[in-house]
Amino acid sequence: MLKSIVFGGTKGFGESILIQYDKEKFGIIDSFINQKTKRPCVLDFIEEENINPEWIKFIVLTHYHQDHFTGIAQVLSICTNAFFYTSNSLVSKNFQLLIAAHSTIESKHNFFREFEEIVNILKSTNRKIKVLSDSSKYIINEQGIKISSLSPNQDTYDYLDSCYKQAAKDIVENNNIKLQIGKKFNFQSVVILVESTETCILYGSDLEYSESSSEIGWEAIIKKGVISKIKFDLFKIPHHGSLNGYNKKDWVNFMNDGGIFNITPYSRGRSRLPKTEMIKNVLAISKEAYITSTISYEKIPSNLRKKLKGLDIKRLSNDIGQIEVNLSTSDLSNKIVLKGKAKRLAI
Amino acid sequence: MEDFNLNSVACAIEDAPSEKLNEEQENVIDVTFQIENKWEGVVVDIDGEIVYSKMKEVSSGDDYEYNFKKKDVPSDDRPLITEGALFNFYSGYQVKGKTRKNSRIIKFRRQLNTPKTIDAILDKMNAMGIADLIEKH
Repeated sequence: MLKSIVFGGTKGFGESILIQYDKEKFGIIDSFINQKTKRPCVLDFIEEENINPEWIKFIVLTHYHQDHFTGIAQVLSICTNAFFYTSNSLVSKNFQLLIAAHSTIESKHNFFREFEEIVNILKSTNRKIKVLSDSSKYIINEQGIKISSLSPNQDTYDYLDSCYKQAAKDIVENNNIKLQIGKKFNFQSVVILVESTETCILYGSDLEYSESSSEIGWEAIIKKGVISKIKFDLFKIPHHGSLNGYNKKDWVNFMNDGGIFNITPYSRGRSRLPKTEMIKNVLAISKEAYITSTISYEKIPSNLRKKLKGLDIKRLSNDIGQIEVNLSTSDLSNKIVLKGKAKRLAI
Repeated sequence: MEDFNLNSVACAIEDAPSEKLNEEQENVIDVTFQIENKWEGVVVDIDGEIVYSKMKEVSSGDDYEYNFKKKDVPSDDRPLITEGALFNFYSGYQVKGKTRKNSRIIKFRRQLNTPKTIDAILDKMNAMGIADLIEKH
């Protein structure tokens, strides 16, 4: 049995994945909060579907970006049987210093505080931070299912640690603390490979191709050769379909005939993903491409409309979309189920 | 952004979260600003004079995108406009004498980071004890 459910939010912020690999065995990759229920989206689903939280065997935090980790501490507190895994680059001394420095800032936007909560939950439940890299053991290896990490490698760890060191130095020497998104944090990403005797899945997290080095990012994975002979039936597109996560030759090689693409949207400042160019790229490889939702807005509440009149201000919608792919069936009508705001990818 | 004694009012509001300026401040600037709604914002992108931000409305938790011009920000705060900078945005009304009109204020936050804070950060890092939890897999 192998089923994948990808969740995403209409506000263009949030990605979470639930994998079912046996009747009572599941894993979670990343988390985000459903603003309507104020709970992790994946926990809402588990409750609705009467999935026993004890059946969650692993939780992977792929990298430290807010759209992938909010609510992870809550997920850990409910799923007490699950082992917790994360990227090797999240446990370096300099990253810990960044976390501690930023945790002093009082703000609803302070995403660094979640890490402290994760640590506290793990301590209170006597669990460890299991560190993943390109050379880790299998996360799962049982009953014909193998789940493993393909990244990051040692070069990436070293590269990121030098970035953290500079940021930490900036804090200590220049008293400079800002809630700045770590643009290099995408290289922390743990790419997950799922293999069964019948099918293979690639979850690309937010990993990018590096402009400056072929020793990190996607090129490092390709070079290592682990996936060179694998054809995927499902590929969760990396980094919401940004062009720096894409390589035509590699992607064509990745995909089986009729292989399925899943993608979640992203919105931040001027950046709206996926762009039309990327949607065309994806559809040129496979028409079986699905997005959890497009980015949408809601009306500003009537009591605020007059007060905000004349400003360039929009209220983001809080709906959720989910793409369920049942990889154990060949019946196309049951293979893909779209719920909420999920839809076929289209221009 | 409306044109009034914004800098004084904004600074006063930062010091007086009780939603009404105290008597002494009122006497100095002769303006009160009554807060009705508050958002916490963060700058996510800057393109020349245009600032892109995300905001959370404090009472509802709703998310907003707010794009504004640097010139809409009080001059004292403009040097603080960088990616990652935090600000508060208030809507309400100002009362001047017998006149009352809808108004908005944006106020950037200053980060006070003393050597004492640095020591506290290092202490906090050690206290978190992450190193003890790490297990190579």
